[in-house]
Amino acid sequence: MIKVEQATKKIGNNIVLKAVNLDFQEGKIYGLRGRNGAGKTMLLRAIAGLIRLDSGRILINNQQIKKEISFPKSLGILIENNNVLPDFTLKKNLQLLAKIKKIATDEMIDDAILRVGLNPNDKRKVRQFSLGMKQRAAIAQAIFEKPDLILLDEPTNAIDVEGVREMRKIFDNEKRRGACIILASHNPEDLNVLADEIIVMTEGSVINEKQ
Amino acid sequence: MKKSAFICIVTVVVMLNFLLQKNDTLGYFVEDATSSLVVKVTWFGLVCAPLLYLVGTIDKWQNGSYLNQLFRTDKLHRIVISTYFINLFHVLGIVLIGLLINALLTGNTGSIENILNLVGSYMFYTSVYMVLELLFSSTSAVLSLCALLLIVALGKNNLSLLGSITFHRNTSIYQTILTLFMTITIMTFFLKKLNQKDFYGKGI
Ligand SMILES: Nc1ncnc2c1ncn2[C@@H]1O[C@H](COP(=O)(O)OP(=O)(O)OP(=O)(O)O)[C@@H](O)[C@H]1O
Ligand SMILES: [Mg+2]
Repeated sequence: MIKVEQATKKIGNNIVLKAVNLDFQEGKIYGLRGRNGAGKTMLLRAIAGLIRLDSGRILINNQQIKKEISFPKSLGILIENNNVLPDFTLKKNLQLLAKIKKIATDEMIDDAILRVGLNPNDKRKVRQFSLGMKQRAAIAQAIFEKPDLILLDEPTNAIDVEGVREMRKIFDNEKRRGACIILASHNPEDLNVLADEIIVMTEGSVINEKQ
Repeated sequence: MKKSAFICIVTVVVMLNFLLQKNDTLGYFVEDATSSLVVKVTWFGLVCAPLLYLVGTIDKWQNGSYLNQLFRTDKLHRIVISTYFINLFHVLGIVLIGLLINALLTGNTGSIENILNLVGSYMFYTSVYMVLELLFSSTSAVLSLCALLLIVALGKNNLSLLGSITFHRNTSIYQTILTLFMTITIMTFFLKKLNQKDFYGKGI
């Protein structure tokens, strides 16, 4: 489904991705591991079409990112911190996003909000959410359209212990539905429980890809 | 925040237009060859003010919640066009509300040609500002726009050939077409640059 070929990205003199080669299939969860600054987030950005490579290419269903398509056609991401507009309710946020692709119905929106453990009828603005609630809101944003590709950067940050288990169940369900999930995390348990394959990165390179 | 900015800018526009206008000529079109430096700088302030409302409208695409809109849009040009028209709507809103208040206060309405010229000028400068903010930060964009408009203010009388771009009163049709053409060129360039831009996002 996704082919990363010799992906290289420089920022100034800093090589943040060094000739990365990877293959991703649907219906699997890939765990990304590595020290701070290893390039995990950068790799996710490159796959999402948010940055342009200096050399190499990324193909999504045989279409090259930034050339044939600007962004993957069916994508959900959680990379940034401020994932939703703070001055609207979560439901309103998702409704606004839903207008762009017109895939998600109101039922799908409510369902996603319930699945992340929030209340679709909550009248509070996202600004008034706690940190963990904001993170849950961001996860709802990434999954509500049932995308084929889901990129998650440290998705269980700030989420309580029970919540982490609930979120893992969500990711597992998304995988069973057939989505390809790439998940960067510093939580070894997240990776061990969820990932079908673990990819280890260091200084912009992938060092191994093991079962 | 944005609402108060809007009100402040309209107030400034009304005041400066009031100071600058002569008889039945709007402040924007005072073209006195002997105008003093004070007049030129005041004119610069008048023309600049509405565009300041655009600060941050392009930078915000680095923010996670806007990135989430961006990657969902398969046609990037649609976002570019809608952003441009929303921005233009706000800028022209400020200018036209300013003119309306001015007309109520002084009875000076300006001619239809004048107003159409202003629309043309701001169509052009809105695209200029957007491209500057895309290429540089919002701070540098504001400074470069101000530098550009200051040059226009000081050299206005010598640059009358440029028509709407220098807010000239008597603009012929070919000058208007030129302005329109340049605006479209700038926005096409904007689209190309947006497609090549790296989004690292903002946050911690
Ligand atoms: N906005 C930016 N501008 C310039 N360089 C950046 C930017 N963001 C990241 N980098 C650089 O890119 C490299 C990889 O960063 P990245 O964010 O991908 O690391 P990471 O593996 O996600 O780390 P962490 O575990 O801390 O999230 C680092 O050397 C970092 O300094
Ligand atoms: Mg990271």
